[in-house]
Amino acid sequence: MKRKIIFWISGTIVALAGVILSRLLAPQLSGVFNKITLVCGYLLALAGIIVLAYACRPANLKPD
Amino acid sequence: MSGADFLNLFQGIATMVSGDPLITAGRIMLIIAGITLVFLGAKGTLEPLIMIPMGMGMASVNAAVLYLSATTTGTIFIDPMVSDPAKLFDALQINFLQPIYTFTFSNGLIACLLFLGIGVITDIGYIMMAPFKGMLIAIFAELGTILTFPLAVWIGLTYKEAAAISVVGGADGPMVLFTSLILAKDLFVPITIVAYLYLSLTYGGYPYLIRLMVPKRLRGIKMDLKNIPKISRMEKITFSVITSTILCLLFPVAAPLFMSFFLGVIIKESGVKRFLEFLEGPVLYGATFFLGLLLGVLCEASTILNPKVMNLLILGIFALLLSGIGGILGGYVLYFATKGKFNPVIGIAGVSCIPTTAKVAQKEIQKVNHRAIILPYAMGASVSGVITTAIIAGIFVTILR
Repeated sequence: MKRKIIFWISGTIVALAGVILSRLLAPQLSGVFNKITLVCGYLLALAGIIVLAYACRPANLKPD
Repeated sequence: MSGADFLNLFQGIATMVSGDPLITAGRIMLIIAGITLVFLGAKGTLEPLIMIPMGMGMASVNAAVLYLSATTTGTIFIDPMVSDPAKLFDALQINFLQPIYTFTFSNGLIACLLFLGIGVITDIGYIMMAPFKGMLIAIFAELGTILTFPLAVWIGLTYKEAAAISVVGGADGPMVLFTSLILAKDLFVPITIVAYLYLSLTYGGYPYLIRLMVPKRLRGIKMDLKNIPKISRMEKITFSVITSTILCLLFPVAAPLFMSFFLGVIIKESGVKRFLEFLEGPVLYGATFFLGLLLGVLCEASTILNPKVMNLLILGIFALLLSGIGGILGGYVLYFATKGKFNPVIGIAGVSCIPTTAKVAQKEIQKVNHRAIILPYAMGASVSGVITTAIIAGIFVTILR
């Protein structure tokens, strides 16, 4: 149960960090930095969603 | 009886030959194409749910041109280009499909209704059982979307038009409709028609791509079904709520679609029987029916005969072909990463087109190995494909709008 909560919380935090990068930080930057931050934000949010999905896997299951 | 009198007996024939010969030829071709679609749909060669109403609409609208005034011709089906409020009000009272078009199609509501219905028939647990594999395949299966964009720009389309046509590579009809309505309103009719026409062809075309790219020996690989984790309803609901909120925060423009899809998923998992029956029956099939019919009716020759349509036809098939190839390549990456324990055919399911591509993959595998069941993994890749397509469409809309 504790393991699952860690996945739920960390996944949400990673995804929200992605949102912050792409929606808050990227607009403040310009040129290449803007695009890099935007793409990193999207990827981080996607990674967060994948981490969230891992919360539902039993602990004894082999890694996906 | 003179020739003119004879033509006036059937006003549709008189109006057909009265205008530009190119439009006349286009109308005749579209009538034939419409009739063909109806028969291919009824036979099951193409997706009947879309093709029968679409073909019927296409044949009828091109045969039903009449004189609206002494000098102008048109139909009483629909006027897709009307924007002036006074003219729109007239059109709403005259054209029989105008209310459905204006209040559900041009504002994207029909795409949201379809997504609600798709959400209700989707088991999100398929993503959660193997999230990395599903997402990896889905990202590979966006190859067509990613490569078609620069090609379309190179051919001469604007960035917005290029983005709208490249989303066809995601093989998600409602998403194409939504993106083209926002980014390329002038081309959304041909783009959406191209998308739905090709999506119905995936059922017939992708099996050949699978046979070409995956040898028989690999097609028969059995997947491990014993270690599939059991995911509770509450876990699925929590995942859906958090994912939907994050995607809405990221892409507010595509938020109606995300909300619709995940709301459907949550209603399914909550087991609210009345909503479930309503969404998976009347809403999903009603929206599909009117989508098909409206797409057909929008195929009036003067609307569809746009010089850019030929480019769109080529780009659409290119996008879907590349996405299929990309998906299978993703399947191969997992095949090698798992040392031969992953069936590469599952890769084709990453081209979302839910649930068609997953069914195609299962069907092709069972032709080689009757005992091989891959549907849970294929559905996971397919649902992941919906999410990755939505993310790419969201990126396009956010950056280019």
